[in-house]
Amino acid sequence: MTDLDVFVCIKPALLVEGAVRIAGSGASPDPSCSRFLVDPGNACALEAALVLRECGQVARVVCVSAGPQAYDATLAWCRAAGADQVLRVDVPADLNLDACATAALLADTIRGLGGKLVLTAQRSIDESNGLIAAALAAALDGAYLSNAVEVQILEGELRISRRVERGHRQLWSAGLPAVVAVEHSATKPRYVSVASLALARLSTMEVLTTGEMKFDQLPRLTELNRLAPGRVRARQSGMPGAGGSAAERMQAMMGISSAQADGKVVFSGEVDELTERALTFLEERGLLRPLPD
Amino acid sequence: MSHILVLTEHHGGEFAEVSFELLTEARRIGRSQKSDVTAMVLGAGVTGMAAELTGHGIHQVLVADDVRLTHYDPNLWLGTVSAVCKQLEPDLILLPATTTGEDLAARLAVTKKWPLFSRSTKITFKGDQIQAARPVYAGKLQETISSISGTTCLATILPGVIGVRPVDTGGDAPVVAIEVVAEADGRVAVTGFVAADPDNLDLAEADVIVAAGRGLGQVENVSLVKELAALLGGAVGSTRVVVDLGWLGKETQVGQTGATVKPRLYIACGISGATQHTIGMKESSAVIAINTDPSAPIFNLADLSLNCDVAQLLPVLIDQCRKRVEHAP
Repeated sequence: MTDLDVFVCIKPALLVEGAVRIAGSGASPDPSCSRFLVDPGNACALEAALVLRECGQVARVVCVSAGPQAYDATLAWCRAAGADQVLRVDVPADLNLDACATAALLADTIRGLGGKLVLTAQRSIDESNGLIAAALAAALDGAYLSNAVEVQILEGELRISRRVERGHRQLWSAGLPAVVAVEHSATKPRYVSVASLALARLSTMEVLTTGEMKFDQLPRLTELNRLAPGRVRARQSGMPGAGGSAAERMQAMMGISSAQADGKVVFSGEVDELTERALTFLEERGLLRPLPD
Repeated sequence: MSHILVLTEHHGGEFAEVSFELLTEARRIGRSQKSDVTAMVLGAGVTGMAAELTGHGIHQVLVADDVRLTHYDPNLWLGTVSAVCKQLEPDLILLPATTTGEDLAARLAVTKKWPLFSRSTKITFKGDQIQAARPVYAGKLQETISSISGTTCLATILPGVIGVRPVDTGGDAPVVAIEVVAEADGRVAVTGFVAADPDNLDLAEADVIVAAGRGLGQVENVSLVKELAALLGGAVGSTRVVVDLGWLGKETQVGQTGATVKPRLYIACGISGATQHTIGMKESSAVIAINTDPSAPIFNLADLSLNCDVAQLLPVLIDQCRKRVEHAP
């Protein structure tokens, strides 16, 4: 029977909706146009941890988050999904810590609880910079394993299958302590019922203070200069002219005019000739090597 | 600024397009900041390939050619790049935002305490300070971040964002061989590599998708689509109609009720191009469409439109592709 606990770092994702406005601090979207939701990447990391517990490879699943009270709803979801314990390190909402500073806070808490195995999301959907796991591993003086799609602990050794480009997989192993960044596509998070979520929300949240660690002494490498609405791209559409059939006008309004009308060339002819065009196209894009002369 | 280091990426003996995008960005910065650009190639049997970069308007190409570098190993990559950084002292390191580039960038950032600008779309300067713009919150906002200290900065660049611009400076940069250095404190062991199985390749991860539509005519022709996908190292996709007919499984379905894909190449075989299907594949980098109907909507999205019977074209195309694959070194 193992006594190893797995810690899962949780960060809710901020979903920006409607007309984008920036908060007064200039560091985040205005609350009127944004809301927190459970990040799918974090949910996958939690699912991987729950599977480890169900396989008897870890004893308990502990979720840890560093943020304001608004994070509690996500932690309640984690508890409802099956986490044994949820903890929040209280950080003011307007502090805007970078990855290194957040990792230092989380590492301090995890180290204090004797944590040796940590799972995080590879990247949250609101585009964090994907540095937390590596920074956490460095702070815990452990191994960093990224892009995991399968996680196992066998005979005290951590083993992962890792996604690489073009559908290939790499197999990595490491001793503990270790931090694993789990891929968004690794697992399908389990269903959390409304009843279990309501029950989890009723329970008291464990909130930790940062202790002796002062926010202004946390290591920081980057700073936010400016947050602005993203560039809006003009939609390529227009009202159709009076000419053409009703079907053509409808297609034009939907942006699906015929290829010939758009001046595109549709090649027809002998199969050999068309095959040659396809081969040239593939060779030009480096998908096929030309035959040697 | 004195030096920019670019870490290139390659697959199957060819440089990934993102490598040339990184060189494009590095040249632009190099011109404005009067900096030298050094490209770095790590791999097994890559010395010949490296010569391809010499005419890209850069200062030098560093090559670590070693059989131990056949696949990405964080200990060897980190050790080798760290050794080069110690010697060159670059002000900026550009890496591709791929699994390799991002893993290495994160390791460099935490071991060297260098700021990392992840998934940047543009690098700018405010005086001597390096700034990076990157999309956040699903692209609805853009943040500009900068380094607090004046150290080396790392930036990963998403493939397909910057684009490749033609070289206007030319040049004949020397290719310099470098030693592979293993990280002394390597904590991760690389224990294996599992090649992608074309039959079970996840559509979302495939670089090439060959998709079957009802225009294939009969279920027997689906094997042609599978064969072409296997030859191109890609996955098999399909339309909803093909899934409903039972020709292929639901996991292959692309479109509104299936997967949304963004491969490097999408070959639509006998697919008319209904909106329900194209909504799932319109972000593909390149599309070849084969259809008997010259006014099929799929031709609007296609980079190469071939008006013919797909069942006649595919056997000839497969035969020619097989010859090229067999002759590949």
